Amino acid sequence: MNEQHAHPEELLPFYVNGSLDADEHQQVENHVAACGQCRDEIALLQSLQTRVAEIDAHTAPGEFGWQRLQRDMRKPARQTRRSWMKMALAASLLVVVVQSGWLLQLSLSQNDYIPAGAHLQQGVILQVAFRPQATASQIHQLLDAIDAEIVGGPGAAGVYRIRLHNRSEGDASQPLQRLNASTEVVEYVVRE
Amino acid sequence: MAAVSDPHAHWLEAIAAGDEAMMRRVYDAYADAVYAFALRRLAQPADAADVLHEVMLEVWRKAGSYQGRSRVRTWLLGIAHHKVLDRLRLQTRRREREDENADPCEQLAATAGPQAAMAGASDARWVRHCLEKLSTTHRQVMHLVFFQELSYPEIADILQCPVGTVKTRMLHARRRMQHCLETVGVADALTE
Repeated sequence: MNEQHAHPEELLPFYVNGSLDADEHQQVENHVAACGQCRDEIALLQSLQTRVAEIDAHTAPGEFGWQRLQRDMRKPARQTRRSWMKMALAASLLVVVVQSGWLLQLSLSQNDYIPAGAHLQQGVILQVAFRPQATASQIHQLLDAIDAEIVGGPGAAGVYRIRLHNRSEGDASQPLQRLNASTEVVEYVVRE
Repeated sequence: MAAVSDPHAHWLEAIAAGDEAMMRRVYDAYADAVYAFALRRLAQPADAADVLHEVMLEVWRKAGSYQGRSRVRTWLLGIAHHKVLDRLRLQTRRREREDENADPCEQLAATAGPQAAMAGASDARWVRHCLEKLSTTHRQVMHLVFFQELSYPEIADILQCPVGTVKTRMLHARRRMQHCLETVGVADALTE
């Protein structure tokens, strides 16, 4: 098979996604006009594109994400790496202290023993951001009401991971409704 | 690389001058794409939200460094790629520490029975299964071609690799996909 009749296999995915330049696009068009095998391949790649687009379509945290970003945009940028590292260390220690206190308090109030790592294997995990003005007491009451515990976070965007106890995958709608309705405490909630 | 015409390039000029409203436009236009790209590699929505936050904050602070050598989307995904790699390195270090204390029985249980888990799945689920079975690099190039709809020079720019590598990687990803579908007995899943 000479070069002129070689299948432009490597170009076909980019022909399907519409990103080839005019010359390459024409080259593929000329070839597929006379090549049933490449037309079949194009049909298959189009189907694959549809599947990938369905699977990979995820919506970013919209308004909540913007508000968090806007808050940080208004903070002064870090001056030096050294001062940033000091601030990060201080912030990390603060988060560890606060989170440890919360988690210890929640564990003691439940009076039962949860093996380390158990939260990774059972229950439904949600991503939650609490309002900056929400108090620890309000958050504690809300988590108690839906039988949940904090298992991770917060990340850079201020999102915590919480686990719903004794809930199956299809059984999280009530706690989700409760969280969404608690607008004075919860800013954003989504299922993981 | 020659300058590329992008109708959104002037948004970045305005952002460099401190235009918050224009930053909002960039966020609205590109947040989903950046989030989906990060989620494809990181799997956890909270991590993807953090990367989105970090990318957009960098855009706000460093919009003046955009030199018009790529489309705005490509520039943003290039920043996201580096943020994702930073986070993956952190996760690897964390996982190595956790693995030192891991229960080998739990590890065995976690890897057992993928066939059983997929029993009774529809062809669409098999397609998803085979996509997820691809290596990280193959799955990433599938995402960049079919979800982000980028050209191969743009993908090479984001991943910092030769254009030939991108085309070959995509070709191999496509072949491995077909091989997986044939192995599970639904080779026609994409053509039905």
